[in-house]
Amino acid sequence: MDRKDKDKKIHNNNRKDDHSSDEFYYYEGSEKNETANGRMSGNKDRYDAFDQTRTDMGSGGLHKKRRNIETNVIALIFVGIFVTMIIYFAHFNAKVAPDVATSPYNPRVTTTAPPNPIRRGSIFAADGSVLAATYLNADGKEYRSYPQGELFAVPVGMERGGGSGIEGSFYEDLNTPTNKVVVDEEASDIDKTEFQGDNVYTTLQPYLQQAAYDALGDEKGAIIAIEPSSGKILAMVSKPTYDPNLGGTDYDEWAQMDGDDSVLLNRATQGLYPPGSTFKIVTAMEYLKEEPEEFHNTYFNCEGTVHPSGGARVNCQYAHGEENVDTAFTVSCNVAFSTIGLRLDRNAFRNLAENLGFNQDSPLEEIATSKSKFMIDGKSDMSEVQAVSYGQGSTLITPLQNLLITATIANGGSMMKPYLVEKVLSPDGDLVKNFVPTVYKNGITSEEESKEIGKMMYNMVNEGLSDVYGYNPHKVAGKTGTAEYGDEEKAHMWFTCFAPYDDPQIAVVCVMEKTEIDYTKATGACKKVINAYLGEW
Amino acid sequence: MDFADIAKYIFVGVMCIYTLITYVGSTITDSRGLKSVYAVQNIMTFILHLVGYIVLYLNANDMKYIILYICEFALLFATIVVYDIAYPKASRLLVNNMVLLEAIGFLMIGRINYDECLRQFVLGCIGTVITFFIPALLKNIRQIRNWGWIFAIVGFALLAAVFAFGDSYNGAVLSINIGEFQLLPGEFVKILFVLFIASMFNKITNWKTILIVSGIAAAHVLLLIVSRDLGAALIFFVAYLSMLYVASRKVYLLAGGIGAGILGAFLANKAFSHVARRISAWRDPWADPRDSGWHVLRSLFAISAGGWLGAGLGKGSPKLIPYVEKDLMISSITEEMGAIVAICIMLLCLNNLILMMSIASRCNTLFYRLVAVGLGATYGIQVFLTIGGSINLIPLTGVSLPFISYGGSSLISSLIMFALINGMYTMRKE
Repeated sequence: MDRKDKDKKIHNNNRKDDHSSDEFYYYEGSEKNETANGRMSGNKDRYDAFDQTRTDMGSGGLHKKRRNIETNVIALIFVGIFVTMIIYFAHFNAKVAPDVATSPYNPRVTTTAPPNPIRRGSIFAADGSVLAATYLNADGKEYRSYPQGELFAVPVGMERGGGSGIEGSFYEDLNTPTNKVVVDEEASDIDKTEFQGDNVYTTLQPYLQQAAYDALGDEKGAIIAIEPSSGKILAMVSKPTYDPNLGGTDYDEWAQMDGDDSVLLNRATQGLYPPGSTFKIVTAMEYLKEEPEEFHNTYFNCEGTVHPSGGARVNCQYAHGEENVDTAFTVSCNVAFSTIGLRLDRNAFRNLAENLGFNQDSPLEEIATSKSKFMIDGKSDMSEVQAVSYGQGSTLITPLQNLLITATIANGGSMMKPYLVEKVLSPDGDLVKNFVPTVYKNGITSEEESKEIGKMMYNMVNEGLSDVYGYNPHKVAGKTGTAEYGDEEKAHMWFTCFAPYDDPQIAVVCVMEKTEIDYTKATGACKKVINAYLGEW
Repeated sequence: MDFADIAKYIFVGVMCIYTLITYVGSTITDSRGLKSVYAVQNIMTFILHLVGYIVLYLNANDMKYIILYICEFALLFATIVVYDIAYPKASRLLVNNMVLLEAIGFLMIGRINYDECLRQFVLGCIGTVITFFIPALLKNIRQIRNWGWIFAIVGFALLAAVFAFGDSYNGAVLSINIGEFQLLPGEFVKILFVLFIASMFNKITNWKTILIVSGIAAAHVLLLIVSRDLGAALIFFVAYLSMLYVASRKVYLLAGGIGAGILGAFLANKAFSHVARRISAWRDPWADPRDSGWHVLRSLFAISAGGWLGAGLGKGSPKLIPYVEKDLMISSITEEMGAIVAICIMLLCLNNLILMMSIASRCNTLFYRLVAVGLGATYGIQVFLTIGGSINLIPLTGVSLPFISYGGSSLISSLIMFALINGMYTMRKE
């Protein structure tokens, strides 16, 4: 067969194909040729490149190109797919892989963890005494010991129950052997080399903790002491409490106790109480901010009760008579303060409360806290504003929050961030973490305003609590509170204070829960703590 | 720093040089230049193989690795030499790539499980010897192109037999046990399938033929879907579609086929819970990390552990990867040899595909062209399914990585495919 002839035929068919023939391929014509030719009988295909030379293509450079289109399209599709795959893979490696690698589901995370066991670090008080440490028992097994028993239960917490208090919040640090200090073989119950975890140093003063613990006595409630200028928490007691050494056996029992009796509830930071008259500090502060001129020239005439139209009836224990804001503060006159409250800009009032920490997460991060609540705003009705202004109503406050308000006044209007842990050291003494005093919120009140309120609190102690504080050599300034909860005979008794009034060294709060209405108890407890800190007299 | 730490840099360097020289070799035509390209390729291959086995030997401190190394080296070297002598027109690039991938496969399987590697080596020897004759047979038995129906009947019967009598593997029915051996007929049926379609379309490409072929192809694919071998179903479909496109030369058939494929995947997602499970695990493997997402996450964890340079041979945790030596080989390679080596492997697989498409475009006989296209598409989609699945670019389908994954059926079927392609190279006119 003439090759050119054949080639032509192919071309013809090709054209035919372009005009939509049933057959897609263009071999039909040449098939007949080949069969006729008797070549490759039985083979229905008739364009066998391997029986021809490339010169066949001579007349059809175009022809050759056409033949390559489909394979090229397929090759290109695959090139596209592979390039996409490689780019995706590279992107995964560069951007996604680091997150994937740290997933908790990644079994490599656990297999690549250091194989050496770690001895949990210790927790120390500010004077260096041990609050928590891991020792070997008589059988040579490690156990967690709390040498001070229930005295430090609240701030230190325990390992049990997922780790509470500082034991919980510094879990990682206590279990991290930064300098890989090896535990003595004889002191270890494990054959492998055991590393000693880092140690945590707290701001807590054991003697003050002891004083607070004793001062609270058998009452339910809490006492906290703080250094206003730094925010260092010096003591924190909550009762009833527990002995963390018994956590292994008694924890389940503790966990079942309900709110009122619960020993696991840290009343100092989680207990929410109505603030009672201690809240008059905030009301007075807001009034001073709004009416700095009028403040000292505002007079009231307390007849023992008041009932403004649209509001609620407010009672005092007795008629306080003619009084100004200062005297009303000292005698804790509800009539006067509910009247002040109605004069206040409610949005500004709420703003001040929130600046002081109400409705906010507590600035104390190391242990569990509750959020104090201040509910009134521009839409609240009169009776609610009246009640809140003298410390009842919907307001709820934690002892810590109440203390922070007092400490802010003592610190000239700026709130220091409260903290319990001063530093983390490796067992050989290298500084791992350091916590320094930081301002939590600046200028909540001006210095003058703080001085003004502080002076009112000082007067309150001098004139209202002389039976407890005598001639008041430590110049304690404070405010009592009797928070009612519906029981005629009992109330939550508050005292929040700082000392000395002109050079604040310490601020203390005490709440005694559901106790006899006797203001000498909470005020007396605070006095013991202050005396322990500033000296007996 | 031990030898494995040094070795990983050698692997990266060797693989980069190899990949670069291979792509350069694909563009040059002068025979002297090509000779040096081949030489560099082979040297790099044997450096990688040797260094790898030194690491394995040092890790295990067992002479059996040295012996296995010598045997493997002999096989790989013989493959190169015999092809060079017997089939001078075969694509040396393709042969060299094949040998490199085999070397990587032996190395990784040997690192994971010595006994499996020994077995793989024996099957590799058998496969190499058998397939060595294929190029000559292809050239001399021209009747092959007329055996379409035989291929179809044998292939479909094998798949049906697996479905009826086969053993379940991870929910999929894939294998038949013959004595000690576990045969995966699907690996061979895909070649028969390609030959069948090439044979059918070679005769005539009218609507009637297209309908018949499409019907039979659909039967294959459906049978594979109900056997839960989703990867194979996709491979068959893509092979069929690319061959249909080349035979018909109609772009709308390609586009329509892709559309039908997407529609089919959508329907399969609705109809089959095992398909839906794979797809939901692909869309969010984190939704159920302990169950449906477990496989792919294990793969991703391994890849993440490797980084660009890898943890070093023997320093990863292949035991933490499910089906590591079969489906998720690339994850283990990435963990120990690094992402750069893995990318080089992907580029070399792409190079193989380009070489296959290149011979396809040079075949003037439709049958051979279709076979080349079909095998090329089969190879390309198989690599994409296994690697893309391992990195969660696409749903995981449980397909082996040709030449690298453990498994005699997979290895021998890959050897047959490459031998067929080389047969076409052998037939080409210079």
